[in-house]
Amino acid sequence: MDFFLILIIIHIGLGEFAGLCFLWVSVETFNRKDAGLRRAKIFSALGAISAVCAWFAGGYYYVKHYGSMVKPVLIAETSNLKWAHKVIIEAKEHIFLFIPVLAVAAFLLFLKLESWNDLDEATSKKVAYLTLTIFLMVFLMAAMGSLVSGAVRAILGAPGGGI
Amino acid sequence: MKNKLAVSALKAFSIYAVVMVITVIAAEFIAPFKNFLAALTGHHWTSKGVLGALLFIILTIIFNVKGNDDNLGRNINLAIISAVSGSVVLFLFFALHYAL
Repeated sequence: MDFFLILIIIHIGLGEFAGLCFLWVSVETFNRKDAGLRRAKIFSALGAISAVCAWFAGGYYYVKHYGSMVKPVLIAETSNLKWAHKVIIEAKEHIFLFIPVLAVAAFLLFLKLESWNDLDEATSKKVAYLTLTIFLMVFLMAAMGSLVSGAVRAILGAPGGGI
Repeated sequence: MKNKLAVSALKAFSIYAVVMVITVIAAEFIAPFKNFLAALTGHHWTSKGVLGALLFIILTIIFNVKGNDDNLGRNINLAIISAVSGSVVLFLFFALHYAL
């Protein structure tokens, strides 16, 4: 299998795993059960590590492969899907930069949390919304990535194209 | 609640998000700035990521050493607002940049 194909699968897999980890953390935080704190700590750590690793995998793919192989297809003279690069990818590559850093900040919050009682009800809800925001941002990245790969397939006439 | 590290990291993230949005938009309008970023690591996006990560780490350490144990809830709000509004601003910027 092509190295860059493996890399993009790793990027997507780690990214979505990170998003699901923070969704789990969000649910545990809304529930505030004693047994759930340990799970929230574990999944915030796994989520942050996955988000940072997804950054490296996706970044290497983007810098070494996307610019020379995918971007030219999207912005070619004959392309009527230039927006897929000029709007979607340009926004995605920069919005993405928020996610691993916010994930690390959320992980540091849980690292120092010894009991749910350390958080009052209102702050606890805010923590849950913070981790839910990370999940939703990951979901947005997945949707944008899917839109762009669909656009490339449509241009190349590959199966699954024609969005 | 005593969680100075979390408050420091969230505060650092809020500043990081604003600086990243300004950097991205500035780089689109000021070609020498984008070229400078590209020259640093070989790609402007890599440089934004590396410089941004350094900024986040340095600010977190500074706030953790010097800052007071601020209000955690307020800093969570700030982090969420800066992440969401930063994402909206970047999307609208590139959409308008393309459309106009």
